Amino acid sequence: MTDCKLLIAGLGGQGVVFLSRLISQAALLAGDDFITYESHGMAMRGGSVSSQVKIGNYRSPLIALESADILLVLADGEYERNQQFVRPGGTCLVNSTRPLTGLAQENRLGATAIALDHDLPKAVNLVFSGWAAQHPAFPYSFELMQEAVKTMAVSPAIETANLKALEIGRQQYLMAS
Amino acid sequence: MQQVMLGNEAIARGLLEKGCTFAYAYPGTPSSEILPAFIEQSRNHGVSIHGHWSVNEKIALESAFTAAMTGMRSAAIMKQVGLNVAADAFLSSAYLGVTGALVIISADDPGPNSSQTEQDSRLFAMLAKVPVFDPATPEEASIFAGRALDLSEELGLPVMLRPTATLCHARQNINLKEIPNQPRQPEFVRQPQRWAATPKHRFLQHQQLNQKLLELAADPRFDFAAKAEANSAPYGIIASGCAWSLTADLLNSLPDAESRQFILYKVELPYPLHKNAGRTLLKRHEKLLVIEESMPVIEYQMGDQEKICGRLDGSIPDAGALTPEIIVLALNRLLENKLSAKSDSVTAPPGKRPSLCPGCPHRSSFYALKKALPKGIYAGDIGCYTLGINLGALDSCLCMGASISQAGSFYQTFAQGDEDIPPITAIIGDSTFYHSGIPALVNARWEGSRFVLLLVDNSTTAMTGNQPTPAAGLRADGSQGPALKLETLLKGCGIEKITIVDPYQQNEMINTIKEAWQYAQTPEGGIAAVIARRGCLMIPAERQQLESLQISISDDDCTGCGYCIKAFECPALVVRTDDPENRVTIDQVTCVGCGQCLDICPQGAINIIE
Repeated sequence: MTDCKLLIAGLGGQGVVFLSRLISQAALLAGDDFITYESHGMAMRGGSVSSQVKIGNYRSPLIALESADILLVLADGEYERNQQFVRPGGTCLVNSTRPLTGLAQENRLGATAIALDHDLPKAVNLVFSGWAAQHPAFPYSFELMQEAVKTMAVSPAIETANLKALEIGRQQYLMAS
Repeated sequence: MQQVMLGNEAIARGLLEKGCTFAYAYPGTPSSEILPAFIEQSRNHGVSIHGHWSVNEKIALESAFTAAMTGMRSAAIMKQVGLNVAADAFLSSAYLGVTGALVIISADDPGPNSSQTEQDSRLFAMLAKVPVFDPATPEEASIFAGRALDLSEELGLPVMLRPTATLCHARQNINLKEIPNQPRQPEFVRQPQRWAATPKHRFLQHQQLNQKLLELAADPRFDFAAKAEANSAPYGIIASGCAWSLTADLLNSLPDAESRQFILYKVELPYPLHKNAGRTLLKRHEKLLVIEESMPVIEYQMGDQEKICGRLDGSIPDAGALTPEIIVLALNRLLENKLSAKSDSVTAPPGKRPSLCPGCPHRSSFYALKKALPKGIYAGDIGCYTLGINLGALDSCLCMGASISQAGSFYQTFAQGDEDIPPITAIIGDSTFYHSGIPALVNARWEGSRFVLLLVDNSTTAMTGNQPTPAAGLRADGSQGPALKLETLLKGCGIEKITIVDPYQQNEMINTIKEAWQYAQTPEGGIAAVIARRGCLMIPAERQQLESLQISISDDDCTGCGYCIKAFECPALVVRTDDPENRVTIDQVTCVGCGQCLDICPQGAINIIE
């Protein structure tokens, strides 16, 4: 049974909620219990948002200070505020092209620019998760994330684009390592 | 069978599994997803129901109550401030009772995240003398929705289900039961003394209600002291709802030596609180900590305050959402700071504030309003357009529909003074106007007030997820009802000057607003309505219709003055992080190409790429 607490931060409209649903879909496929929390309402209008995913035996979706195993950040401006939720020894993965205090270079990826280069402007979150899924701390395998993308796709065209974006992210990880 | 569901979807499922066939709601975060899920799941199971977006929460509750008068099982669904709107019907319904079942679902928003208050609907239930369930997880919310229906029918009283935002928007795997398809036949037994009770009968009904509540407070099903094992832990924690689940996770994360100092009790029915359970725990433990959101409802009912800590003695702050850190602090007070968990959060930079979407027609409306009536008073209202505050085009926001009453009263107060009356504008969206703007408009015209009524009509309830409004007549189940145009309503309210304008036509919009205020001041004038009509771009069809332009900012012409960002605040206008002169560029991923920013720049640096 996996036990992993993930905090996903970004701005409204970036696909933070989608990413939390994708990871919980992977948890479902793996047969793990989970509880997640999604931002809705006014915050969705471009403001700071975060989603919590707690995989394991939990009742509340909220994550305490210094207890997240993984922090995924889609907008680098959100990194500093959310850093304090990561446990000592936990992992931060950030969508950013600029150096960030306390973050190793291998833990950031300029996923927005990469997605744009591939003409996939709406799939920044998927490029990012394809890359993040390669990281040893990530709770599920890349293949399981692919399965999750397939089960969540609402049309064949979206499935193809999302799988492509996921693969682009993975290639980025492999090229860097 | 299991299915992953949002808390709100789980609530809808719980209602359907227990034979609820009528649901009335007005959208409001965090409750908005319940009604659509109720309709969708009933359709998937071929169950015949009636689900409707009521024009406001009072109407939703009156409608659901009436269904429950005829023996049906029904639900009225709203957010916590919606219950304020429905208060009259809510308090009265407790006296009359029901013959079927009525569940009032009032979703609270501690924080607040998307509301004007942090009020606790459980306290409202206490005021109304209505029993209230407080579920702790999405799965429990599904079960409690059903229990609330059963209890309502058993007692012949309305019952409240009070979820909070953390639960409404939590997602987990839910165990499903069958949805029955055994429609009841409506039966209305004429009992005017009950259903139209006069004050004399109301007194008797009040006594009967009190008796039922007394019995319920002794009901062993709700004895929360019986459900945890009695042992020698010095401290008892009494919690309900999401406060319970948060505390349970926190205690599990503590080392055994620390967690065994506490026993956690879960209250499922915070009002009426089980009488003996409270007394038992007061005897059993040295101290009791009560953890609940967002007001001390359980605590008020507990009695002996010497032994109890919680919100009343300051152990838990009396504003803001509960966090694990607040609970750690409260536990630490009991344990004299021996707890190992961390409770001091780092002061972090504030997050990015929400703003209107790129291409939002409201932005253009606000820009035109500021240009047309720069020294005006802008009486605002509730919806996406409350974000007009970012643009300096919104001076007040009291509650749903208040823009019109406030504009009227601003006029009356300045009319009493000796100075010139400043230009006054009420800004209200279409859904809010239907909700509670109409009586305010009838009143303002009757009172002889003079102002511009700017109806920002995006033909949807945008903030809560694009629920339809009566304007187009589309209903919650997708069927088409009669459309009721805003201009027809305005005419019916006696407004004679009505201009419809496309907010994307900025010059026309500016001139129309100026003319409207001039008209308002003329002897035959009064209230001049401007309907700024353009669909919300979150509606896919509207987005597809938009003729998208390629916009860029010339580096040679941009001076980095930042005027465009301050005056227009489009998320696609961003300061270049790599530029020492702070020049602005277009974020092409975010930009929808509406072209509304083209005339904003004082230097003319914003252009169409040919």
